[in-house]
Amino acid sequence: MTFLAPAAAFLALTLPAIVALYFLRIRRPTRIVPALSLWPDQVRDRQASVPWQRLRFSWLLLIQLLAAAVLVAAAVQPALSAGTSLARHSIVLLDVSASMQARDVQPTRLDEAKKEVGAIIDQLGPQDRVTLIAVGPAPRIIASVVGDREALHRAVDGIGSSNGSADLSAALTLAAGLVRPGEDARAYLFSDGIVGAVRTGASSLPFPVE
Amino acid sequence: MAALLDPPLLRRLEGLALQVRRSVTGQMGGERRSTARGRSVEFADFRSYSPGDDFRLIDWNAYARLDRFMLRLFVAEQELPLSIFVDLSGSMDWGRPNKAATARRLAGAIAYVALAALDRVRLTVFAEGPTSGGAPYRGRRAVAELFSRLQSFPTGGPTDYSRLVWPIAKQRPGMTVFISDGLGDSPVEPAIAALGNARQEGAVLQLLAPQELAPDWNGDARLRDAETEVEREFTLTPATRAAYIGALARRTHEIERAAHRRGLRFAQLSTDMPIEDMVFHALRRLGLLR
Repeated sequence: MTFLAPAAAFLALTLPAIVALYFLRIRRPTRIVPALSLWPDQVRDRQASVPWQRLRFSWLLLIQLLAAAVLVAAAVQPALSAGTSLARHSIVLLDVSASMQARDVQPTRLDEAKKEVGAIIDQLGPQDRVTLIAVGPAPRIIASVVGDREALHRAVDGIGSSNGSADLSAALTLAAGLVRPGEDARAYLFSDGIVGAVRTGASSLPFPVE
Repeated sequence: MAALLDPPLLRRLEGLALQVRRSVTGQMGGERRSTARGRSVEFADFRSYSPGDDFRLIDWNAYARLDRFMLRLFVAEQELPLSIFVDLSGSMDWGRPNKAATARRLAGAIAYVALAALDRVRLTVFAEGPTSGGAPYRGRRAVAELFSRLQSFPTGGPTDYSRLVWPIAKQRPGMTVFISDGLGDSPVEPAIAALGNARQEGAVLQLLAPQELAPDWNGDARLRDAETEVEREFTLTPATRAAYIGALARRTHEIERAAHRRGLRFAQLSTDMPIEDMVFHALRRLGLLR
């Protein structure tokens, strides 16, 4: 489980604040007594030195604490990660070679691949970033380290196919350059398998490739 | 007269009378043995004749034996002057049943007993100062007037017992019933001492509400004095409750001691006691009524 807005956790300070109010709270109905002099005086001394009172259990306090806790819990937006969790930086390599125009998958292989890329984009969390690279004869960076889902969808829609082959090696090199050292990155290759020979060894890449 | 006391109770009260230990010195004839000598069937003493005495009182048998004029004296029967002091200060306007209302009824019942027995009743209510309840009441015809007077006085204000000293001191020796809660900023003892000095016998009746004998609340409160309106914060716990009850008991004991030292009877009455029980049990046991 993750918290989408951990900064809202400071709202949890309201809980001790409520308890403090109960410590300080003095509910005193006025009572008329025939002779005040008969009532022992020691209470005033005790109260002068101790401005708070002993905390007594009260249902009201309990309910207020509960309500505050629920509100704080909602404010931090807890999220259960559904399905496969994405890496912080997803590098999507989309094959746009001529073979992707084949219509053996309706409507085309490229459109099918775009649909799957769209699915990945939909899984993005608020901290996640995507780099979109169209793998054609010359790899093109469509979107570089972008977190905005709308922008990514638009970028994916705007990808058109090329008539050349896919230069995966160049694309991977390009992607490797975009990844900062130590970053949690993962590359997703959407391709029909018809790509140019991979020259770079997979082990030299700073991220795994799926 | 919005029924200070209901008629069945008044009828029962006719069977009672004030009980005096000393002989009385009233001004007018009544039904009580007096220290004065007068006309009655009860022989009191002999006295030698001096010029001016009534010839009819000369005991001729004694003259025959002693050759001297002797007067036969008889016990005079006079009225008993009863003074009733009723505290109607702010502290009395409190409690369920209300202390002031109970004090009015109790005073009315005692006054009725006295009036029915041809005794003279003088009523004084007091709060910050004493207020006379009018000329002395005498006879059964005065009952209605006394009752309506008793109900007409307002309740409230601080209690200043010291201002009662003079009205008490100027009284003729007789009987006094002092109805008060004995509470207030000023001590009640000077008034009780004045009763003793004025050669009053009678009773100090401390009237308290059940809610002040045992507080019926708990926890935090802002206490306000009924008379001075001074406020103080207070938390009622078992310990402070015991301290309060102890303080009230000490105050009661002080008043009782002061009363007993002056030869006055003392009783603490709770307002939840029916007026019948107060009169027929408490005051009878006290020896005030018989």
